[in-house]
Amino acid sequence: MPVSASEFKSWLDAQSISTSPAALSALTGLHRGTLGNQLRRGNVAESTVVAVARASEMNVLEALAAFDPYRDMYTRPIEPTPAEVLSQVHHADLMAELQFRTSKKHYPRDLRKHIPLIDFPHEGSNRAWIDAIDPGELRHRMAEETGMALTYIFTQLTENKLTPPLAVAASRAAGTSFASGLVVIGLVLPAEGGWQPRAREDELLEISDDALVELISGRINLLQRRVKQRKEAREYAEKMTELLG
Amino acid sequence: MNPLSVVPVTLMLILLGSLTFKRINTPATGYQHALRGKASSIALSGIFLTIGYLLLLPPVYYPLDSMMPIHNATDLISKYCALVAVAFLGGHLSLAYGSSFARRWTVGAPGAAVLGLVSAGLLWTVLATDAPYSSPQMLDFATQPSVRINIWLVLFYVAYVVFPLVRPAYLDSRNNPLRTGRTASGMIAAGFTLSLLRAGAYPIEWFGAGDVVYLYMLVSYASTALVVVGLALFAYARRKRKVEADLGSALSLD
Repeated sequence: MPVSASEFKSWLDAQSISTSPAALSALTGLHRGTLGNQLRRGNVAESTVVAVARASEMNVLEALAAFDPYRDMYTRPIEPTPAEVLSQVHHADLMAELQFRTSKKHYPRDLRKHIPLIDFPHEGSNRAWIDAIDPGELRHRMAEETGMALTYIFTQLTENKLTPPLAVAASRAAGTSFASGLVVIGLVLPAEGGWQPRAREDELLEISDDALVELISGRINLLQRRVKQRKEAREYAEKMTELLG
Repeated sequence: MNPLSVVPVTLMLILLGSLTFKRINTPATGYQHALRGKASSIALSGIFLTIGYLLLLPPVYYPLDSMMPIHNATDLISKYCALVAVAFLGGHLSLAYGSSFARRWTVGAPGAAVLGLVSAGLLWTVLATDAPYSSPQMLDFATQPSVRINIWLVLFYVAYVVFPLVRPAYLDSRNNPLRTGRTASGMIAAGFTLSLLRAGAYPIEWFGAGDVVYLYMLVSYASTALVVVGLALFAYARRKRKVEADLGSALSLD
């Protein structure tokens, strides 16, 4: 649920920022028409609040916390748990870590010293986060809290397009940091959400062997499903081009 | 000879002829495939449609019609070619889009019966038309009820065939994993929709001013062009191996 336009305008007034779409567009770089539509329709996207906060050099989380759906932001620790951080490490990076630990001779860590980890969000990263914080029945509880259909939530996870309200609902149900979900979905940058600069690299070094293997095993299961879906999609595309081409 | 009718027909002929020729004459990957492979019905459809348009060109129409036992029999043959092309296309697309309903509808017993009735109806309307001389598309006699029924029969048959294919084509335009495939199916769905719209709006055309008939004909040309270009995009995707190139490894992040 985006924030209300009237709340947004009051907030802008409190920050001594003009409420005109033209001024906001000049400030944030967002399209003036988009901003005008959001204000006219009464729903302002969370990304707009974040853009204004960034452009005005405000704390992004504090800016979001000024609005109704995000007022609970600071009632819990902001920092992510190690499981949340590791959930945002791509399976290829997890497997690279497995290789480094397997043989220093065949897979020297120095080989990729200057190559960063794969950025997130990446395919499946939203689902990996939900799996990492799920105490059981998390998806059902998200559906209950937001009033959204369970199938919609599954679709959002499959498409890696979790919305801010769903991320907050997941955090609330799981009892974890509200900020982490917003970082995971890409609304807030890791540094803005209380993540340490090399949080993922550090957690990857610290994770125990058995936890690493278990994590990889879980990701491989998901990967198998995704590869099967992609194979079916490819076969369909091949069939269509063969039949009509 | 009215340029309003000749120019669009010529342009359509160039488009259809070149795309059909391209589809057939690609020896490296397409020659066997185009005429004997899974997409042979599409090539045949293109050939019939090209012949249909070729017959409507005045330099072809008049000499040929002078040899016919009745005036404007060439127009009848042209329309039969178009009907056969649409039947081939409908049958093949229903198979490709996996719509068993569309397949029964277009090439099953109902489809054959409708094709037979429409063909007989076209013959009857040509015989019933008071046409003392040859006129491509019988445009000079367009105000006669028999000619209007003649046009309506063709529009009806096209609409009958494409009606069950609009939804599968639209769904493919949303779901095909290949971008070229989505664009191609979108064009096919749009072309089919235009055909349905023209058939549905025929009463307006029937009772409308005679000069506007060229505008309505443009709708049919646009519809044909969209479908033909959509199919050519599928052929392009096959020739360029777009599935391998664009979808790549299922593991790739790039």
